[in-house]
Amino acid sequence: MNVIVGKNLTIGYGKKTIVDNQSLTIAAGQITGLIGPNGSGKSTLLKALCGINPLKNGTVLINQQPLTAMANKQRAKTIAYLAQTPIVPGDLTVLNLVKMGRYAFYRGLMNRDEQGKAEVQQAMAAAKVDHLANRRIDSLSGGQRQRAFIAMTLAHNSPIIMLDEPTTYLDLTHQLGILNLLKELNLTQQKTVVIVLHDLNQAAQYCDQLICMQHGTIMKTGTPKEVLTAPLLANIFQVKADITYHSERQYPQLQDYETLVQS
Amino acid sequence: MKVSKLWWLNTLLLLLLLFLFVLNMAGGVIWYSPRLLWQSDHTLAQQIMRTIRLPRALAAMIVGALLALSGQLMQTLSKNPIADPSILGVNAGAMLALMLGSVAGFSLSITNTIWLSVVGATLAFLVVLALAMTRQGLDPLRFILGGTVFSGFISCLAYALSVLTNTTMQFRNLLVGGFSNTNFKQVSFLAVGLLIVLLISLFNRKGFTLMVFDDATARSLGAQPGVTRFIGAIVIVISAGFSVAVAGNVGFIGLGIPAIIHYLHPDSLERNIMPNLLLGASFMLLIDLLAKTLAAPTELPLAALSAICGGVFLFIIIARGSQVTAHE
Repeated sequence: MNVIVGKNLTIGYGKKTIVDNQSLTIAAGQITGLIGPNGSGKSTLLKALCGINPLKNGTVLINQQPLTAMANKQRAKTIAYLAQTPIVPGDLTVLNLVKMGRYAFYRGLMNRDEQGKAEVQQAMAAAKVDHLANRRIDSLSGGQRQRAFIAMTLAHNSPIIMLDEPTTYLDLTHQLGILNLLKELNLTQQKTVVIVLHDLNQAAQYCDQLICMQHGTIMKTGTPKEVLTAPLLANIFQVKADITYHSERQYPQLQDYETLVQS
Repeated sequence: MKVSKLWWLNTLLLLLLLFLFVLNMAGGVIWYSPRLLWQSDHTLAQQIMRTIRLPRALAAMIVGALLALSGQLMQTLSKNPIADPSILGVNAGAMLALMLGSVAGFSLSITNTIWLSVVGATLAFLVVLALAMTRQGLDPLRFILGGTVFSGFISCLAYALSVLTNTTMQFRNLLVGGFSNTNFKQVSFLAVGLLIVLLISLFNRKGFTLMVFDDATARSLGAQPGVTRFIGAIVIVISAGFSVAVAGNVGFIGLGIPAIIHYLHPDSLERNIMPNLLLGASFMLLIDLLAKTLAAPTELPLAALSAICGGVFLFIIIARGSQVTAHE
């Protein structure tokens, strides 16, 4: 089943058009990776799919419902989004940061939210930051901080999570930690995950589907094995690499990268 | 339930407020016993306490709270720890509007002063926002720099206007700040203003709090940053306008009080609103007390005192702050 459908999407800022007349579908319960070189429009497309960037043209349907017809809070209950470099409110404790993920659920002057406490606890436990609940964000390491933000996005308890390069600026162990966490959430809670990734090997290993973009155009969609082929690597990423396939799961892995750009 | 640090802070600040309120009432050209407030002996002293000092202390309290709240909101909404209505020319705009209104022939009744200064504050805020707007949205640096320059510019205009029209004495209170001659009618207007901004802040406290984030993150959480900013701007101009209408252009509070609260208790806007209001009110009572007692019977300029005391206070905190964080 397709949970997210984009039809004839044109997205841009002011007069500038970044993504021009593109259509795509994203399947429910899968991890879909958006890949492409810098400036290819991945982040712009992701923000449009979660309703943060307005569309110049086209429609985004979430479960057959137009995104523009959803109220802000309704949208936040359906899709959680984590920006690439969000402003970090260092003064807050992890607990208070995660609680902000419940904003869409507050009702009335007293901000009643019956499930809130349990959801916040679950989100912190899932992102493995429950032991850091009373620590200030300022005092956390990069990996812990990113987990705290992921806990905030989990606190929406939304069926869809979108993340823009959640592993940037983290060391390898923490990158894998975040990706394993997303995989786990996908498997145990059937979350639909849409993620922008730069590392093609990680994208191949963790994603069920890949959408490859260049110059604001979707060039190729499919399984990692279908997308990451030698011609595509050469044309879009301008690299040459040996492609090997994982013995059981058959996802491709690139080795011995070499740039095809003459410097 | 575990008693939190915030609870302690609020309790201590409330006690401080009560103490300073009583002290402010007692102090003046002559010191009176606070007991005069509730003992009925129908003396002149009691008359002074009840009809002159009580409204003055109440006005100081409310103006302090309003200025601290507007500063705190402005800092969060603009994501800039040195944003403040007095720095950004909002207060100066209210002051200039009052003078222009007076020169144009409006009688400076309480109603007139209030609407004139709210209109002035709004116009000044709009100009500063327009100066700070770029194609990418609001530029925080342009916001502060443009606002500072604009503030200086309107203050100069206001001074020039008062010198040219020979009204420096008439506008003394406005120019240097002060609570002398405050009456109960002004207090009731201030109380209405405070009630309005507190209700708006109460209803929007979660939305205001989310403004620490970038717009994309705030929107993804279900907030509407544009609408929230607009509501916040309304609170800011009402607070600044009402304050200037009664107490003149008093700086520092909007900048320093939230900074002190942030030092004592770094936390979200929502949770720090109460301590911020309490400390703002306390600080204003203290400064007003100094203004009326230090050189009695001469009244010292409130704005200058506020800047000196607050500046020294803030300097100590910043100087000590580096050591404290190093120990953490």
